Amino acid sequence: MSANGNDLAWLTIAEARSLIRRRQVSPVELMQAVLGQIERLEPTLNCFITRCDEQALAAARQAEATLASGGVVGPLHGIPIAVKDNIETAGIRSTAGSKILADYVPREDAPAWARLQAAGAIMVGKTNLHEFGFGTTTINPHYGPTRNPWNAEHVPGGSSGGSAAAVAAGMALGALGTDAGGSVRIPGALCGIVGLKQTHGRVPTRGALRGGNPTRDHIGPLARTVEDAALLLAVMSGHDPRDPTTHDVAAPPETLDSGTDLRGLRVGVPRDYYFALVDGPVEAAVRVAIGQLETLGATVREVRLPDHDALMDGVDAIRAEALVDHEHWLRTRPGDYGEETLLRLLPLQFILANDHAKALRARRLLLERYTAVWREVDMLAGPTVPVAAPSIAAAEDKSIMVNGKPHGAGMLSQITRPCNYTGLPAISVPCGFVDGLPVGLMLVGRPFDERTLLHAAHAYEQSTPWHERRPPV
Amino acid sequence: MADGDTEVTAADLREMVRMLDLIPIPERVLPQVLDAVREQRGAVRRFAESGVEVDETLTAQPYRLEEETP
Repeated sequence: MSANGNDLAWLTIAEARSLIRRRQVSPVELMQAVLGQIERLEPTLNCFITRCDEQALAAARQAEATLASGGVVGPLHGIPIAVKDNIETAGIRSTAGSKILADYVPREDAPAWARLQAAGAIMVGKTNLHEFGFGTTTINPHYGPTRNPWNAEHVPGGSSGGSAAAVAAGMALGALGTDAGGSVRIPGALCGIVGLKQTHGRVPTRGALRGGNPTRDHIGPLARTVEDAALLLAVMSGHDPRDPTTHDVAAPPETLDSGTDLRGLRVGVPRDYYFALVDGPVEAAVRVAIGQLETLGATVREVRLPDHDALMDGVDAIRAEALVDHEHWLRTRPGDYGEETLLRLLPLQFILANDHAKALRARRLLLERYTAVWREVDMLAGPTVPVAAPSIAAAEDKSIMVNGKPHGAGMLSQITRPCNYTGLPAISVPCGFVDGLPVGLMLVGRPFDERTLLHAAHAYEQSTPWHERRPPV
Repeated sequence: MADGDTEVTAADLREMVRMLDLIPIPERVLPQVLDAVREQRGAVRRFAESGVEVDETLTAQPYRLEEETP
């Protein structure tokens, strides 16, 4: 390998594992390159709450020794991975971005991380997030804001902002995030990388800390390519007997077809909801991306999702679930919550049981509207986020401009949220830039049909240059 | 809480917290909590006015009938 240390940090997971297996790059070299990026960029970007430099380097040495002795290696042998800090990691504190859990050290790994680790992945650190994952900007009151590698005055999105920014900046080759309203896909889009939220039930969410939404939450991968996201998903997938939300279904493929032929694929573009609140230049980039799917052979048509707006109002009361995880602390330690989180949680106690019960039924109806669409098309396409990454100042002032009108940061999850209520798989892939900031195309698929979703996303990615750009860090 | 078009007030929230032993709300955040509660009620009201009926929905199970699974 002629690449220098810094170049190694920009390898994809697929490239790195191939080079490691061929003994052209050692796990120690790779880890040193990644830790070098962290050392250089962390003061600016603030991606990590807890760094694991020493443990990571020791694990890389062990990985190198295993290779040298001809030992068995897993599909992620020696790959540096960042883990969102609301995912439990044995022996490493897991704060969930909160003061409440500032000293919490889990005894056990979340299964999603345990499976990556068993496959050879090495954790470089625990990444910053919006407090308890309750927000879209990663402006954290306790650990400071994470900054966007494409422009440090802008947010990386959230709540998995530390994970996304780290991957985008070469501070990890891949990362884990959680997604209860878009928290993998949003920062994926705003940082110019791939964010994947698989079907609910494919990957255990056990060990995702206090997000309060077990029926909406997911632990999902962030990576620089669709191929890498697919590999991480394949390793994480599978039934967990201790997680009743998981299903015993076959894992999606570890590798993807290399072709970009999308003939036979039917893509639907929703007339309702998905394009209702989107900034003009973002919509233009997404429309061009959808045109590219057509160029690759897909048939594209408009589809209707009747009652979508009303049903999103109808499911809103499901948010009351989040209070269950926090009632005790809200009574005993209210001063340890950031004000934004306090304001998110306290109103939930005024949601009526009757409205929550109706919301559960509304969720069923929302899913049925999508089920009807699957008779016409194989997937949906639209924007991931209505705008490119807003500035930190605009996010704090609730002055994120969309077509000339100001909005709060909650608007960033407008388009991603439905898939958390329906459980449908969705992926964000880079599809262009607006004012130097990345824009994401979101594809939504049928339940458990990640194969088709990943194939389409991979074909699009491979036929466009967006994933090859690096942020100016 | 008031009926009809009258919106919930800060006094209503204080009273409910006291009567129902809800989580206390610091006075400094009460105005914003009130705004959020009004937004929540607004979503409920809009859904009720949309005409979408949930009465005959047979299940509140969030995910998949048999035909929705592979």
